[in-house]
Amino acid sequence: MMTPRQEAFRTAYRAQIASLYDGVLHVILIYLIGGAALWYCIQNIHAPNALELAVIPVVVVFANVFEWFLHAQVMHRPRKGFMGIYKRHTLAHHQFFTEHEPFHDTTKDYRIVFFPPYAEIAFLVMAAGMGSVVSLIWSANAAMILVATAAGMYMNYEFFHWCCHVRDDRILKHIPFVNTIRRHHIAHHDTSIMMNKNMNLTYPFADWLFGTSDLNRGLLGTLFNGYDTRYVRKDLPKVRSSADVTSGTVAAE
Amino acid sequence: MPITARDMKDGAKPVQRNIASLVGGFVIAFGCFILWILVASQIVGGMPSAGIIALGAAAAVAVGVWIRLADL
Repeated sequence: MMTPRQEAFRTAYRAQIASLYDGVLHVILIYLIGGAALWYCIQNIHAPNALELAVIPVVVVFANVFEWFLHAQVMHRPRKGFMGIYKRHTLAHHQFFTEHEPFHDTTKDYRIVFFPPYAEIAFLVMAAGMGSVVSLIWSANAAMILVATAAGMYMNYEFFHWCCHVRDDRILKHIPFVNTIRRHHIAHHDTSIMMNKNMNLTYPFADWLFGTSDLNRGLLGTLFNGYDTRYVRKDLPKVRSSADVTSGTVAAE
Repeated sequence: MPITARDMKDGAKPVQRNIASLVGGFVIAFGCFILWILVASQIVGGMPSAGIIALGAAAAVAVGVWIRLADL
């Protein structure tokens, strides 16, 4: 069910999308950049040992916590120097998608689903910087594994986030992790909990670790929860749900 | 483009592109060019030819310009 407020926001937002924007091209660009980085790194990994391969889980966990931190402390907090990210996410993405109507309609809506591709370049540069240090003090293989894993996690993030906002879940609801993050993220779009709960967008590990999950479950239960709502905490705030907003106009933030 | 409700409140103002798409256009053009050189050098097993480098530069500029025009 879409509120008049959300409907008005969507109409106004779509009217402002540049005519040369193409959602499919946007996604192709993201995966071409990530795929190229991943391919290049893999080509330059030569007979890695067990310790070097152990970089993969370390980066996966680090990326998970980083994703949680960025979402909680930058995308949902007005920080000086990062206001553009806050506006784009909290004030636009969260008005376009609510827990009652969290799905996109056309590929034009990809503009507000996916990060702009230069964000991926920024993440790859950060990963390459860390990789350079690792290469200098330890191993070129480990550095390449680090950047390859970071590129993979970025593409994982974008894919999972798209899975959260696509309407048709006939297949998605059966895929482990995807079904979990879909419920987890749609719940996050409830305005009453969006500032503090469910900040992960891939695997809700950091949410479990830092106690910001809306579920009251252990790690495995949280990761494989799927659509199950039996474990949703009973003490979550209920006020100011977007469904409570009945105004017919686009309200200012 | 206006990205918040307040930005849109005044209605039909002339469409203005966001500064982020300008900076992002340069960033992505540079990033794509570097990636192109890396991938090309991996494929040819050394420094790619001037033609391949020029093609990469053209592709990178095209991507950067599109980011700006699409106001991403």
